[in-house]
Amino acid sequence: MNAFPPDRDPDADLRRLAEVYRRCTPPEPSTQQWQRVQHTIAEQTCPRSRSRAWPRSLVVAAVLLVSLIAIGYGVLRTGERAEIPSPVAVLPPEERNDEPFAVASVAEITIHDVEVADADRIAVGRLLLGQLEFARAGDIEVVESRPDPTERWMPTIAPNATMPLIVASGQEP
Amino acid sequence: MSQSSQPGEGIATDDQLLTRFASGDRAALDELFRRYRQAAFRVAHRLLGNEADALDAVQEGFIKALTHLEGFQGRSAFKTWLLRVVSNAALDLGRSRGRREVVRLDAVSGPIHSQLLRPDESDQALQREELGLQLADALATLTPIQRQTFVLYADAELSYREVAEATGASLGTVMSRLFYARQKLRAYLTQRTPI
Repeated sequence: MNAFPPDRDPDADLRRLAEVYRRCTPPEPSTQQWQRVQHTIAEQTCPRSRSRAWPRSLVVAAVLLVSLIAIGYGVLRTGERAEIPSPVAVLPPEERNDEPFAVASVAEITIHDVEVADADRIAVGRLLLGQLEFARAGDIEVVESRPDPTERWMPTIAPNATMPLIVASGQEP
Repeated sequence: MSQSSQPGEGIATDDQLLTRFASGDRAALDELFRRYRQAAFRVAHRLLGNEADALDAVQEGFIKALTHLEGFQGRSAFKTWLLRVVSNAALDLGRSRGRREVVRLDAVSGPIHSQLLRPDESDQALQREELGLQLADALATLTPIQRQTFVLYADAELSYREVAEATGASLGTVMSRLFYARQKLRAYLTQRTPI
């Protein structure tokens, strides 16, 4: 019953995280709530059609006139306008963890060597939550293998099915 | 990802809807709202943790996005622009209302819903509820910008590039934020033992 038991393998852990995230999607508001929001949005944003332009102008003129009179009598003491502020991107200050990753396309990457301990850092597919897949031995088709040019080690597929990547066997060719 | 720029069969693109909206077509607004309200709500709900505030943020976000279309100018998809504004509105709202530091998904399979289920389903619902609360707690451990980046990716299903456009960050920074957000969530959830 433990969704995140200790000592599980990392990719299974991430799959569980994705699963939990999907299962805990916030419930949708009721139709009435949506309609209320939609109505307010329409009231405040929908440009009036041409047929309504004239009465609208009249209303605006009347409001302006009343406002001017009110100002004249000193009723309005402030000139605050109920204006919707422009949307501005809220960019919090740089954070400690903001270390931009180098971004490269698949074609630009050739993996010559990788430590087994680092293997779980290499993911195939859509990263993070969503379609997260780690390549396993069975997912990889070896088209050609050549010994490392300097060390002369021959790469091979790890026999362990849970091993996610090709690792160096340490055997001489 | 959406009907934003590619016309489908008989389906208006976002650009077409925006043009119609600008000329006073209420139906165009209704369609845009119907098209993106869910994604906007999911993002706002994850950032604010409750339905009422999330709906306020959605409403404010739509109004701002549609009354300031000159800031949009078609440089990105309308969905990206809208979610940028909605998520910023949600963060602003959270700050102004004194954000609940522990975000709760109260309504996720809540008690009332659980009572309507059969015993086995009720167990599952309780488990799901517990997981939901833990996930909410875990999300609350992220910084606001990590949370915004994460929900834009995971809830609104924006691509890395779209998240970058929406947050004004570089692609690499988005990847970095997602990486650390995922690490934090995983670490937090791993420490907890539900049920």
